[in-house]
Amino acid sequence: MKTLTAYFLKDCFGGKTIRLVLCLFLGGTMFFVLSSRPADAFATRIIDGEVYARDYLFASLYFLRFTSLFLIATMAAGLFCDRRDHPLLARTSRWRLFLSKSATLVLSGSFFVLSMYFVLLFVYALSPFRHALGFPQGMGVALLAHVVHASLLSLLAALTVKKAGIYLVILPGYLLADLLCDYPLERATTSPITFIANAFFANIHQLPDGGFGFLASCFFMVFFASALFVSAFAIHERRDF
Amino acid sequence: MSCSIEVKGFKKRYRKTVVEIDDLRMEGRLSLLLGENGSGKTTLLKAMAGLLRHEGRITNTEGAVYVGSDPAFPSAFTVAEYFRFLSSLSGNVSEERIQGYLETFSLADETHKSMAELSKGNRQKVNLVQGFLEEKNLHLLDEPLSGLDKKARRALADHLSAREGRIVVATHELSFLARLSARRYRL
Repeated sequence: MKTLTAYFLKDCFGGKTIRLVLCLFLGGTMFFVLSSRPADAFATRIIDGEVYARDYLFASLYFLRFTSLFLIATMAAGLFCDRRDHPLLARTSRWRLFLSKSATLVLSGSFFVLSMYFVLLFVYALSPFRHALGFPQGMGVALLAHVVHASLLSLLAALTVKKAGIYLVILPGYLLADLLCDYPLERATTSPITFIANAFFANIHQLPDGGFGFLASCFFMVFFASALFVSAFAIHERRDF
Repeated sequence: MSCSIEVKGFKKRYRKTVVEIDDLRMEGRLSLLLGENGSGKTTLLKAMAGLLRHEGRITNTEGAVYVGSDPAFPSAFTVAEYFRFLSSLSGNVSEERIQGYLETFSLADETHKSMAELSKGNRQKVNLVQGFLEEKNLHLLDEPLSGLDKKARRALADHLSAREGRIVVATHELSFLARLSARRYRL
């Protein structure tokens, strides 16, 4: 299992980028932990004060969420629909193959989510500078659309070569969007961990920050993921290769 | 070796076509499977290896190794890394055996290359070697000559003649058939 999972991870991220991926993953995890509830003071420093309006946050997170989902879906398609499995099936069972692929998908998906989160926090951290520089207001939406569009194209291009270097393309896109978008009117005091969890597991416009809404949506996600896992396993065991 | 491979009432449905084989019995160590394009050679080999769901009965093919005709490999690996990975997965392949196969198929100088850099012929050689490395009683080779040069074809024919264990080969190449003393079956 370990050998197989390492093989799939290397296959997904490429030989040289795997170290970069691991470093970013560990860095993102550390940041994630540091900015969570036990370290609220630190988190507050990052997003405190003049944070973003809900509209801008929603636009960014909407993109982040679907980019992550898109990345994960593409990776799943690459992992589970492949002729390269023939040599592996001669050496291991279907269920082992499935579990290794699932483990790879979970690890890679966690990495995507955390790195997106990391990018977003980085953009937040830069917001006071943009405010101080007094960039023009009101021209953000169209530009954001262009940036999103360009980033998606870059993403598609990068996915075809399976390189984690896509983040180097996405990051300047976000920074540009951040510089040119409307500045916020409201304050957001939610801690980053709750905020990002809401963004990925629920609709931030409809659910209150944290609390029962977040827990309910987590439960729904776990239930949905379990059902998906069982169905995928059943299909994998019976499918043609 | 004494058990023959029996195929009875085989049927595989695709979206618009159906492959049917009523009765086929393959005996002997080396069998050649012949037939027109679309006659179901690949389908039958894959079904024998347990890679396809099908109707009907196929006997004595447990643990068969299928070696396809259009191989795909992970581009992030070099040839050496790939074989090392496969041997760690199998758990019973020595470095010497790998080296022996690499020399037989003239791949010894290609081991440092990435899979993506290999030519079609060399990819096919890697494909054959990975199949032969797995010590099983039955190997199913689907168009094994695809992309191979004369030298490699000769090496393959010699290897098939000398190898122990049952082998079923699906091919169109008549010149290749002449080299081998094998039973022929037409679909």
